Amino acid sequence: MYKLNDEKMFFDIADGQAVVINFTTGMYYGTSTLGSAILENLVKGASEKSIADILRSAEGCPDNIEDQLKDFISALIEKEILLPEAGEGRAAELSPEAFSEGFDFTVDEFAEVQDLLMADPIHEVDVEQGWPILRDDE
Amino acid sequence: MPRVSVLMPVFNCEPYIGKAIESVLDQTFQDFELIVVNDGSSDKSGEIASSYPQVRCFDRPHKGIPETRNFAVSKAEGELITFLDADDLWAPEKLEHQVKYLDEHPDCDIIFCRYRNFTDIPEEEMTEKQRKLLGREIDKCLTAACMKKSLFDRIGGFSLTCPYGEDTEWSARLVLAGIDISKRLEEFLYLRRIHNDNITLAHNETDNQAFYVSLADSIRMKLRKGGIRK
Repeated sequence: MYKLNDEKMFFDIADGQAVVINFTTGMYYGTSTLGSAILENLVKGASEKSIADILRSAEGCPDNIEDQLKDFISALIEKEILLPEAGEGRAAELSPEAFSEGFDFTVDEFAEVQDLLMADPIHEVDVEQGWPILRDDE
Repeated sequence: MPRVSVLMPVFNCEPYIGKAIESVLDQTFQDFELIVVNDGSSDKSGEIASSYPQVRCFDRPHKGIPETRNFAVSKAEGELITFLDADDLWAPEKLEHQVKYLDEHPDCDIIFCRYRNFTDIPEEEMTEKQRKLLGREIDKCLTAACMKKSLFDRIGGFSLTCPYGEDTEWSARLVLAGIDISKRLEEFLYLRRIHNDNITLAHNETDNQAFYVSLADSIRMKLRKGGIRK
């Protein structure tokens, strides 16, 4: 099983779209609807096998789905989004909506806000002290 | 109608706000309005701002930076907008040079300038943190920018869910919307004050979370528009 590398990564999913932000590098990551659902399951500790089982049983599933899943997980580990963790993992849950846009899932990486995220804002808010406030780690 | 709206949110900045206002009034480019929004200061910041007849002042209960900035934008009548923090200063040519650049480059929506940190703190009294900060410059400091007001119509105002970093989140939204924020004048036209009252207090875990949730929402919108969602 796997867990989110939360020392580096922020994970958020809404309306079926997952977003991962690496707050140590400023890179961010996106994936497809199915990739988002798989990633959410992985972050929540679902086992790879149980995800593969659901994928295989879905109508129209391509033959190479397990290779695709392995590649997807390898990419997530390589980009330090996921960390392997001991344990069997829980059963995965994938809703029919997860398959609504097909079986493609890859990790897409983006750098365009990197400069901004790496340049910490100095002017910050404190309701008692007034503006600006420095971060403690400045 | 003024060409530029200079927006100055203020919260408890009595020792510095007068100088900040005067650095605006001393600009070589004079077709501007200066709007000061007093965000419920408990000191005399509001009174000092009101003592300048050229300043449009608004007093409001304390709401925090993002909401105060948004309120200031809503009151702006200029085609161009620029922010000045109430403890900082402008070089006299700031508006002139930035407006000239925008006039000569009609496709440019936002122009930055370089800034220099300064302090009145005697060298021997400075903390390590202050020294470090004095030598540091952020490439895209929103308060050093002059921008078209229409940007706010295109991408919305500052996120109210961000207790800090609202300027970074807003700038990220510009980038995600495909707006070029790479243009910068290489002149030091913004002076950022390092002072004793701006030390300490870290944002907490909840604040961090709120910042990234807000940023993730903007990223999600961009991913959908970009067809990442297959």
